[in-house]
Amino acid sequence: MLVTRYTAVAHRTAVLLGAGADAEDVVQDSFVKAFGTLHRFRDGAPFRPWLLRIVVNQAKNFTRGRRRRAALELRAGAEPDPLPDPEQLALDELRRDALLAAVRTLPDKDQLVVTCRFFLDLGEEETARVLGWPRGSVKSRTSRALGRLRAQVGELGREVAGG
Amino acid sequence: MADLGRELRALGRQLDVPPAPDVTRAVRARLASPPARRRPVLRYALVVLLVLLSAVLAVPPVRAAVLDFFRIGGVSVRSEPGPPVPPTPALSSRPVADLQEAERATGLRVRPPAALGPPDSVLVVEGRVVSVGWRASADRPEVRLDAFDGLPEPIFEKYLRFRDAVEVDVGGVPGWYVGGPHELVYVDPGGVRRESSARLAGPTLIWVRGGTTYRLEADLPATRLAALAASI
Repeated sequence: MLVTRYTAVAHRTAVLLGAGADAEDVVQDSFVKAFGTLHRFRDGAPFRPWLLRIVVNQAKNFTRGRRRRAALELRAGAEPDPLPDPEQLALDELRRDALLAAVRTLPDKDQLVVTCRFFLDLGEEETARVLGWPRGSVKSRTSRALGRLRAQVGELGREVAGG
Repeated sequence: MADLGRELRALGRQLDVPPAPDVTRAVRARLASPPARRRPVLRYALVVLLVLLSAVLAVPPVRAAVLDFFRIGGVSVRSEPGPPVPPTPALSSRPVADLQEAERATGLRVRPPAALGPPDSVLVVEGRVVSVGWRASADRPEVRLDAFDGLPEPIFEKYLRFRDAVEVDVGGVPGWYVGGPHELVYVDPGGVRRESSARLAGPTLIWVRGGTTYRLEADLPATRLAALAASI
């Protein structure tokens, strides 16, 4: 069922966008809104970005009233990523904290694009749909955000000659 | 770019996101209480689609979104205008000698209600639907029973904006009775609607038992169809 299938990603999106304790309400509202406007759905368009776009907007409504969005937090005692991915980077604690701190200093729009592209691991096209931006803006905003982060924390693994 | 991107993805997986709550019930409850305004879509004909599990998994997300809207087993009910109905629905069906042969062909074990007597026809449709027919008799109209594979759980069973569908009890499992005439369209394993298969179907009861989806079609009230269905 649709709700079951998309709850996890909708909830994760809401939390990462700073909805905090309101994340559950954001998710509920988003689904209700999504179904209520299903007739506006363009047949053939993918559902997930459509839903996530609603989540982004709902989360904005919830966080607007507050001065600050709930900060991104690391899982308490998070082990380096346990996923058995050969490409996996095991970030050490210091590096992780520095990177996260750097992300928090980014302008809002940069944080949005970093959240979509990397924390949620959405593609460029899907990010464009979710944020309602032209694809070119996603691309340029992403590289600008990465540039800013790189300026703050540098790049890991630059020891490889010719990198 | 690639390195920092990978680091950020790794970081993303370690961010503190509490487990997702189960909002299914709440969403369902909120959808079930109808909004004040009525949209004209509610007056449209019901379209019932036959969908098999593989088809459901194969359909693109948006199609799935609409299909999932109201589904029981391998049948998806949509509230929208149906496709035009061609004079002769085009589906490949093959008569078989009996239910045993149908079972060998499809793996579906169908035990029709004894009350209906021996069937007049047994068809295997598109190699994955067993369709059993009884001609009209003195005490009942023509009856057709279709059995096919499908997901065992109904979706949005309380979602009652579909005014023409009512929930009935089929020997302890939930079933849906679609009282009015509606278009019936076959969806192939690739998830493609075969518009050419559209036909107008009469009152139908749909339910799922033991992983098999059944649709029992006959011009009978819900209670009589449910009684027949319960004996399957």
